[in-house]
Amino acid sequence: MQHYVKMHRVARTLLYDVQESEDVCQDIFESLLRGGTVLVAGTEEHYLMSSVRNRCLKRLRHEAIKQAPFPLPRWGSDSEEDDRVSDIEEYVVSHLSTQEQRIFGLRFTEGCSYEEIAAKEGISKVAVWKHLSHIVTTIKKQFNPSSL
Amino acid sequence: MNPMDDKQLFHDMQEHPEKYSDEQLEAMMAELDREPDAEEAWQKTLSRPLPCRERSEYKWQHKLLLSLQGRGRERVRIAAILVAAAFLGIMSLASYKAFTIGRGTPKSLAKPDTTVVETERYYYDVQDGDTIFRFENVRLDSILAIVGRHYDCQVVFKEKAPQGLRLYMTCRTSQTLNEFLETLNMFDGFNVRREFYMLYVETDEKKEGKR
Repeated sequence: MQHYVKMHRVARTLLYDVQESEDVCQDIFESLLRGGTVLVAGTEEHYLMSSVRNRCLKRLRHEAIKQAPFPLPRWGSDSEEDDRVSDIEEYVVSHLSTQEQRIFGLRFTEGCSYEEIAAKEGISKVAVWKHLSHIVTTIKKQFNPSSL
Repeated sequence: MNPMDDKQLFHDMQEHPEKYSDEQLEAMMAELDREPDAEEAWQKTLSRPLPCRERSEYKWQHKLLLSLQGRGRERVRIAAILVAAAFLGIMSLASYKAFTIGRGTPKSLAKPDTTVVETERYYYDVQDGDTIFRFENVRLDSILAIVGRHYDCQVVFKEKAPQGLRLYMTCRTSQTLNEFLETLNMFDGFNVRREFYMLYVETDEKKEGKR
């Protein structure tokens, strides 16, 4: 539960919708409770944040599939799809500027608020928004049907 | 402004922040950073229904698992195994008693309108981080409700007939959806077809003909 607020923040940055964000977070906890996944001590936060990002990005991709005017190829099994999502995300992040990589980490891995990021980076909140907008838009483009 | 408009506004602000004033962006940031009620959300997660027809014994096991979750997963596993063993023991004893009592009951006392309820068993076991689901005499719609949720798929029965079919099968959460469907489609009487994240269940006439 201690990670919930941060997870929710990450989900909302990608999906916006409160209900959808709650669903994503609850699905993750539910699958942990039922699936028997054992988290190594000290890695819980990283695992949870990555899970939120992956699930949100998969949702965005599914939305893109639904809206696509032509049938899109599948990426294989669910685990292959997870790997593909992670690869794309890793690729995009590695091509961002150093500051944007830091901001990505602060928001999407550590779950910091806009205010906290602004204080850590010594920039305004609006500047943080613009950096994050660029990051999210760049990632989303990779999930756009025309680029698949 | 309806929620859809809000969402569109959010996406537009993300894609074209230059179109909006600092005040508008700050208002959106404040909205996004508004802390959710974590306690309430946690309770919602815990109160989500089990992915099967809820039977009192499963609810009880589930509650026990949840109450133990803070004390480490190993303890949870051990407790779950003990609970399952105790449950099986009680069930065996109850079955034996019922059998012995039933044998001693004169036929004349049996009511003519007695209904035999079909048993339905669904349970799961955790082995090396992989969860094994065992379905015993479980309706196809119940199985697909669980599986659909696991693979994030929408299940659609195109006809009613296959819904009530009862199956015995085992599956693992580590299986891919295609592997699961391959196993499932070996059963007679229906066919499950996958289209992206939709599973369509139809009566399989070819298979029906073979029966």
